[in-house]
Order: sequence, then C-alpha cells, then structure tokens
Amino acid sequence: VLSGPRSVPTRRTALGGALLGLGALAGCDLGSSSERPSGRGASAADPDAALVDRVVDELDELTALVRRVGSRFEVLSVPMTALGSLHAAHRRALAGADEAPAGTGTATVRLAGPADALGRVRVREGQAQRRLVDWSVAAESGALARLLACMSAGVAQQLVVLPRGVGTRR
Amino acid sequence: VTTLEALQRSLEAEHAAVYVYGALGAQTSRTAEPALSDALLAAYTEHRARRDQLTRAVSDLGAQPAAAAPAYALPGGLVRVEAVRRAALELERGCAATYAWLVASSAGTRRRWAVSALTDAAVRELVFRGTPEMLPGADEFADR
Repeated sequence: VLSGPRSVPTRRTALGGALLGLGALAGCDLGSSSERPSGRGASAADPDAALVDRVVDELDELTALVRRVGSRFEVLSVPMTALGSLHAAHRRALAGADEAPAGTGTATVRLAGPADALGRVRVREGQAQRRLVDWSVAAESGALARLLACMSAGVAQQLVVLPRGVGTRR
Repeated sequence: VTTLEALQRSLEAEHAAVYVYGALGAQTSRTAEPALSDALLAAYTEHRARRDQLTRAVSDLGAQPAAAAPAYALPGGLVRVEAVRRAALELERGCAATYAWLVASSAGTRRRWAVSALTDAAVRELVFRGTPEMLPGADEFADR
C-alpha cells in the first residue's frame, strides 16, 4: 500500500472551513455537546487533525482501488464509477478537494478476475464503513462526527446496491 | 444543542414515524402489495424499537420523555401505492437527518447508537425506492 504526499495544513484549513459552514447551518456550535465539549478549531492544536488525515488517506486508497477495478474490468465500470463518485464527494466535503494525489493507493493488489475484484471491493468498502463509524465516535468535534457518520451511511447504501456477483444487479 | 435536546427531538421524530407508518400500513393492501406491506411492517417495528430506546435514554438522563402528539399530519394521496412509498421515503430521510444531528450532539456509546440509527434509516430509504446519496442525513451537501 502506497501513501501519497501529505498535505496536512491544507486539509486542516479546508476542514475548518467546512465545519464552520456546518455550524452556521445548524445555528449553534455543534462541537459543544453537553457530554464532551470540544473547543476545537482549525489550529495546530486541533485534536481531530490526525483523524481527518487518516480518513482522507482511507478515501484515497478506496478511490485508487475502485478506479483500478473499474478500468480493468468493464463489466464493473458502472458500480465502480458510482463508488468513485461517492469517495470524491466525501473527500470534497472533508478536505475541500476530490482528487487524490498522484501515486496514492493500492498499487500492489493483484486482481485475479472480475469476481475476485468485486469481492475485494465489497470487503474493503465494508471495512471502510465500519472504520467511519469508529472515527465518528472518536471525533472530538460534533460537526466532524456528523459528517463521518453521514459518510458511513452513504457507503452502507452503496454496499446495498453493489452487485452480489458479476453479471447480477444486486 | 445539548444531548438531551437532541434525544428529545429524535424521540419526537420517532413518535411521528410510528404514527405515520401505522397509517401507511393501514392504506396498503397486504394481498395486492405484499412486498410493500412487509417493508412497512418491518419499518414500523424498527421505529417502535428506536422510540422505546430513546424513551429510556431520556429517562436515564433524569428527564421526562417527550410525549407523542394525539395525531400527525399525513401526506395526501395515500390511496396510491407510489404516494405511500414516497411518504415512507421522506419519513426515512427525515429520520436520517434527525439522527445525524444526534450524532453531532452526543458522544461515546450514545453517539455510536445514533450512527447505527442513521445508517438503518439511510438503508431503509432504498427499500422505498430511494437512490443512494452521497451523504444521507446531511442535505447541505446534496448538490456537491
């Protein structure tokens, strides 16, 4: 598994903007739950900065996998495009940009055939969905927790419509 | 928004969901639309369970759980199957949005429970012919 160039300051800055937008929509400080006051901001002391980086790296890996599967197996191009669009939208919401850096992703994964590739995507997306739940729970900021939970729900929906096998619709 | 306030809002949403699903089920012929009827019954059962769990959660915080209203406004045209599906879909979207805010206003095991409820509602949208969304429960990102 390869990791792309890190861009921590950009992500933090973009996240701060995204979360400020969410707070304005809510008309309240969502980061200040009664159970765990957050006091977060887009600063060097941001307790969620490392978490955001992990999520973005996860999205970049998923994007690389579904792109590779979709380009190698035409029969899977439609569902892989849908998943790619999902991850791009999530990256955009989280980090302000939907493109992963060049060279990011699962370059060493071998794909035996479309069925094997589809199975790998299903397993990997399911793993990501569970991780997003855990990351949502771990987030200090309520607004970030909400965004990660919605991302997890989006992946869960895609897993429902993802074909069970090659040549089947669900 | 405090955790208690978010829990109460979620409970109010579940009271409404239970009522509306009851009405939707009553409008649906089990003989003519068995799949839809089963889906409505399953959703009704799930929302009742969520309502009861929320009631206990509010009580655990020492507060009086929000009571159900005597009645809730129903969408028109429920004699048509498509209108019933549409009403169920909108109901699930509303619940997903409500639970997303509960996620933001809670922590720990309560937040994890809210994420689960959000995900259940999002997946149930698909049962009622909804299409996958980028961020279920977060409408402000719908056009991104």
